[in-house]
Order: sequence, then C-alpha cells, then structure tokens
Amino acid sequence: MPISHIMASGLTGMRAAGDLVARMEFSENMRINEAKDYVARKLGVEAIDLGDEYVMREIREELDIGVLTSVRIQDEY
Amino acid sequence: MANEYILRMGDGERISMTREQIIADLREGSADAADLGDIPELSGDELDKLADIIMDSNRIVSVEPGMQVPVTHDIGTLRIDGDQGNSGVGIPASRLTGCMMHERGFGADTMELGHIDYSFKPVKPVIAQEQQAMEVCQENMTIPLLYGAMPNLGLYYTPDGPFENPGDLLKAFKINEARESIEHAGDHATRDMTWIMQHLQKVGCDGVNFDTIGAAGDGDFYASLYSIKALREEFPDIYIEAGMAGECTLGMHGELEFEGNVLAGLWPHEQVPLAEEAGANVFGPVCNTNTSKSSAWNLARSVTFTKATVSASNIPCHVNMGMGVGGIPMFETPPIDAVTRASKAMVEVAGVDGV
Amino acid sequence: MSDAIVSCKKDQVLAAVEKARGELEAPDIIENGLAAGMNEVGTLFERGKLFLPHVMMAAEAMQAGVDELKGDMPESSDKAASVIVNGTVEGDVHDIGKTIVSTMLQTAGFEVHDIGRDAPVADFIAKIKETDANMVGVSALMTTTLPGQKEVIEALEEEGLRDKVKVMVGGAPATNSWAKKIGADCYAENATEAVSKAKELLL
Repeated sequence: MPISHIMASGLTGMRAAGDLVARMEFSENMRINEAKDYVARKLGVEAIDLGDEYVMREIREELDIGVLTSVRIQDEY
Repeated sequence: MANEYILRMGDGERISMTREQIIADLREGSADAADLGDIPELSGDELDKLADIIMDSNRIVSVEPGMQVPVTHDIGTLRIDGDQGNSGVGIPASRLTGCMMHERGFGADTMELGHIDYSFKPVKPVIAQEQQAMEVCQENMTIPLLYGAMPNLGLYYTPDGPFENPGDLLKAFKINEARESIEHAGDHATRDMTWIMQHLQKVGCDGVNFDTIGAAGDGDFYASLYSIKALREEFPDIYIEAGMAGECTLGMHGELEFEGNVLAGLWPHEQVPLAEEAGANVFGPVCNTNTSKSSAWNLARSVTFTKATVSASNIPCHVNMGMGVGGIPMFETPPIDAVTRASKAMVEVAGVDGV
Repeated sequence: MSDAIVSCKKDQVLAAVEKARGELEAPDIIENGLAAGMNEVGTLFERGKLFLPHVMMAAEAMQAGVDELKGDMPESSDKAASVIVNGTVEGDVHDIGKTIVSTMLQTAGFEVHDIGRDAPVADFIAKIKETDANMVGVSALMTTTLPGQKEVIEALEEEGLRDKVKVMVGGAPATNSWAKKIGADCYAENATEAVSKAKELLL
C-alpha cells in the first residue's frame, strides 16, 4: 500500500527531491509549497522539477547528495 | 450498467453506483464530518472534484505533475519482515535491509526504524540494540530516518504493567481510582518515551514518530504531548511527527489537560494546535473509515476533517492513510484503486503537506 | 429524569425518580426517563461531548434509579427480556470498546454478563450455558485475533447452542462482510448500533 501512495502522490525520495522537501518540512515546519519553493530556489530549478527524475538525477550527482544507482549518468553522456 | 461506476465499500468490497448516488454519498459524508467537528462542509466545487476522482475510468489515478508531496512511512520495517501477528509480508530481511528497500527500492521520502512490538515501553530493555540499529541505518541512508513507536498506554496497566486497569476500575464505578491510574501511567509513559529518544539522539537519530497517539485514550495523548515538549526543549533540532490513532480523542479520563486544554473529545482540527504547541514539526490527522458506508461517503468525510485540520494548522500535516483510515478501506490489502483515489483527493482537495 | 441522567449525578437521578414515582408507573419511568437519558448520554459520548467516566457515572446513577424502583415493578417484568454474554476473544487484551458496548446494552435493559478481555472460547460457552443467554457479543480489535470470533461460532455449533444464541461481532477489523462470512447474525459499528441491532434481533 505505501508504494501505491508513493506512486500516486509521492515525491519519490532520492529518485527526485522528496527527501529534501521532507527535510524542510521537518526541520523548519515549512508547509508544502514553502518547502518546495525553498528547495527549488536553492537548487536553481522550478518547483515542478522536484518530482522530476530526469532533472533531479543530474543535480543530485553534481551536488553529491545521494543517488539510487551506481552509474554516473554524467559520465555516460 | 453503462451509467454506473466501480468503487468500494469501507470494507473493500467492490460495488457500483450511479453518479447521482456517488454525489449523494459525498454530500452525506462531508455533512457528517461537518456536524461532528463543527467545521465547514466541502464546497460544491470540491465535491465535484471528489466525484471526478472517484469516477475516473482508470484503475490507478495520481496527482497532477507538480502536486506531489512527501510520503512518510510508518510502522518501521514491519511491513517487510513482519510475519506472524502483524500486517507484514514475511520477507526475511534485517531492519537495515528493510529501511534501505524503502529508500532505494520504493522511493519513500522518509523512513523510520521500529521495534518488533512497535510500542515504546518494550524498547527500554533493548535500548542498546536499538541504538546500534539506528546508528547503522543512519550511516547507510540518505532520506530522513525517524524512530517510530506507539505510546500504547495499555502496556502500563494490568496485566501488562504496574497500574490497575482503568477499564476494570470504571466497570466497578471506581472513577477516581481509574483517573489516578491513568495519570500515573501517563507520567511513566512520558518519562519512558523521553528517555528512549534521549538515548537514540546520542547515535544521530534524525527524529521520532509518535504513532497512533490516543489509542488508549486521552492519557495516551497527554503522555505524548508532554514527551514531545520535553524532547523539543532538550533537542531543538529533533524531527518530531505526532500521528494520531483516531479521529476523536477518547476520554478515558475526561479531565486531563495540556497547557490548560482538556484533551478528551478533541477532533483532528482541535488536536493539531496542541501538537504544534508541544513542539511537533509534523502532525498526522486521522479520520476513521466506516466499513458499512461507500468509499465516496468515507472519502468525503475524511477529506472534510483533514481539510479543516490543514487549515487550522501552522505545521505540515501528513494525513494518516493506512488500512481503515483516511478514506482507505478497512482491509488487510487495501484495493489500489481506492488507495490512489484517496491519495489524490487528500493532496488536491484537502491540501495536505504529506501522506 | 433524562436531564438528571445526562448530569451523571446519582443524587439528582434518585431525587427525580422519587418525584416521578407518584405520577408515573415504574416501567414508564425506566423506559422514558432513565433509559432515554442513557440514550442521550450515548449520543453525547459518540459526539465527543461526554467521556467514559461520565458514561459510567450515568450508568451507575441509572442502576441506582432502577434499584430504587424494583419494588414497584410488576411481577412479570422482574426478569430481563434477554441475556447477553459479551467478551473480547482470547489473545486480545483490548477492553474499552467492549466495555462501552456492555454498559450501553445493560442500560438499554438487557441482562449483560461481561466476561472481560482475552477470554478463551470455553469461557464464552460456559457463561452462555450458565446464564441461558440469548445472545453473545464477540469483540476483537486486531486482524490476528479476528478468527477468534469464528471459533466462538464454531463452538456454539458443536455444543448445539447456535440456534438459540444470536451472535454479534464488533471491533476495528470486523466488518459486515466478515460477519456474513463467518455466519454471525450481525455486525455493529459502535455501541449505539450494538444496542439497536440487539433490539432488532432479540425484542
């Protein structure tokens, strides 16, 4: 069931930027839109990119903040 | 049948209803919550949106791109390795493996480590093991990792604890004795939960999830709030999630207070200010599923309560959406069509900050 | 009378009973005064306006009122209409909901024998036989203890008691479908529904 929730409405953790948004909610009591805006601003992306694996994979590699697989896509292209 | 839509009863059984029946149930469910909680009913637009979600022709629905929210995961890794006597799927795996599966395999936004009993009290004798497990998990993981457990005041009463069972005392009309027993248990639970988290903070734990607060009534809520307050004072940066057990705080005692507020009989939108005042970062409101009503009735009722809670809150609200709560059917393996509809409705209509 | 019960104060209830005595028959006082007040208490409890201690205080006050009126009752109404055994299945220590159900059934006029929590099947059967019960309430609050409700029904069948004893099931994981599946006579969502279902089946 948690996977159903994650697929339906989750930010998908380290696949994208869910862990970062969650950290802002937990550490600063930020509501969802404030947390997304804050993280997006810090990363220099739009809020919609925070749930986008394509955008976030590269950013996570660049910043070395954890990715799911061992392949570095930046080396591939 | 062309004009009928497939949905679920509160117990998960598949049913079909017409658009008119669905809308009637949505109105009734929302009105029931509004009546009980003295909160606004959903607007016509919101009910229409819920109807659209329910009547979507796809089996699985999801939020619109950009609307995603963090999904916090509770019950520790029991869902993976639990086998007998709980809702786990019985896959032999260490708790570290279970946590990492959620992080790396399932895409959870936060995770938690929990004890096999999932209550705070039994953690005391094995605190060293919990510290070790927490330390290893933290070293191997990136997403926020909380320690999760239930306050479960029931374990402080006979036959499991030192204090006489208030249920037995109340049955014997010993009201004052029952209240004293709840107060003693509440104070002990406050001390135990605080002590356990003090030890887990020493090994770098991100925070704590007080799960199913109030399951044993207002004493349970009392103990949790005072423990949250103590932890916030001692650890200003600890992540604290306060997740409730039910929609209305059961008044076992009836007169317990937190900072001058009576705890019994509070609905979710009245509970959240207290969790916030105690020092919680995230609140988990609950609305119970009625198994004799349709998922339309249950979802509208849950969304109405949750929307009022989100509106009354200054901290993020991560609505509880497990089996039998938050518009999810009361069934061991809740149907995915119902789960994803409830998930989308909570995000897009109730406006929750997380699930 | 109703207001006195809702006040949860025994002395007020006894005073109201004393006052009503000269004007109304005892069964009328119990049904339209005391029991009606208790119904109101049940409603307020479910709405989060009154709490468990109040329910128990009101029940105690009602019992005192009924005791006071016992001597005025007609001979034929001496015995309770129906007898219900209520308990939580073995392995399950949850007690609160079941106790509330017992209290509300009792105040609705049923003779209730609450055998407590963590009750073995044999205890259900023994109490049913001992009290010549017409109904058994079987509570379970965990998915893992839910099968205990089915075991009680099977034991009733083995003992040849099933035809004369109605079975009501309840508790968080119990549902209407589950009740049908295991052959129970009804499922109750909460204490108020337990009372109305018991009345439907027994009265």
